[in-house]
Amino acid sequence: MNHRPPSVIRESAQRLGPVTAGLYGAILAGCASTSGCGGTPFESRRAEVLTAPAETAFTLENTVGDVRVVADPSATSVRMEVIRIGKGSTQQKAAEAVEELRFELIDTPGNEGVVVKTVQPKSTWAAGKQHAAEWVITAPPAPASS
Amino acid sequence: MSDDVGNVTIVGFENAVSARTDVGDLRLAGISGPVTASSDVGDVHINTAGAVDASSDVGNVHIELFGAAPVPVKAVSNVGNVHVVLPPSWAGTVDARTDVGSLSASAPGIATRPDRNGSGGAIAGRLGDNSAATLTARADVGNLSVDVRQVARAAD
Repeated sequence: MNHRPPSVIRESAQRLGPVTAGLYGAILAGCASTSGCGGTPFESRRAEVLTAPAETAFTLENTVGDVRVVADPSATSVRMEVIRIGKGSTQQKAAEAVEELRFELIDTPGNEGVVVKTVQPKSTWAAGKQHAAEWVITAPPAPASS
Repeated sequence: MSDDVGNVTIVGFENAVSARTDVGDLRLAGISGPVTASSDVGDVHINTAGAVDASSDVGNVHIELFGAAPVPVKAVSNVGNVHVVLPPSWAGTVDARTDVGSLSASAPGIATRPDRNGSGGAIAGRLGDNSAATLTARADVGNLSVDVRQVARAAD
């Protein structure tokens, strides 16, 4: 089993502009003030692309966020476009939440194939943070996706 | 593929596909191999030529087979409708039951058998020639339907 740090597989990273829901988000969260209401009206996003070899099997273990996996006959590897999403009770916490997300890539040739895991801190709701990762993955149609 | 919270869509793979989400919808389309899919809370929609094992605790389960082979199918929902579409070439035993819900079957060889109390019932029978394949469908609370018609391989 070979654990690779994410930096090895990261092809590119693009920081998206922070999204501030402000008062509107605060109202949705059920309070008139952005402080002390326990909501996470602020949002920050960052996109990046990961790649993995196209092996016999590919597994993604995500925590929160939509996942779309599409077979591409022209693909020679597994391409993963992931958007980190951090939400927070403040803009700073939202930005921190984005950075707290980690992605682990475990390559086990001939066994489970490639396993990608989203890792996020536990029990962060009380800290005023939420994490999500949205994935769009393209891969050759023949390798199994599990 | 697993997700705690979120929708999962998988399209176009030729080999085995497995997907699970705790809360969210699953959509697996244009799959050629066997499919395993489960959601605790969410709908499951499958379009495949392979064997199917699909379930949702709370959500509808919709399965379409587009391949010619008589593959086994298992579809379960505790609370939700179960709808299975088989190709005309599919052959095997149909064993479907709901405790509370309506029944609908559209092919000769299979029949609806409502319970006497009218709250649920079964769809049972055989389709085609000798085949070991079985369609097993269960719903605790939900409508059951089994249709036989050709469907296309979904491209998306």
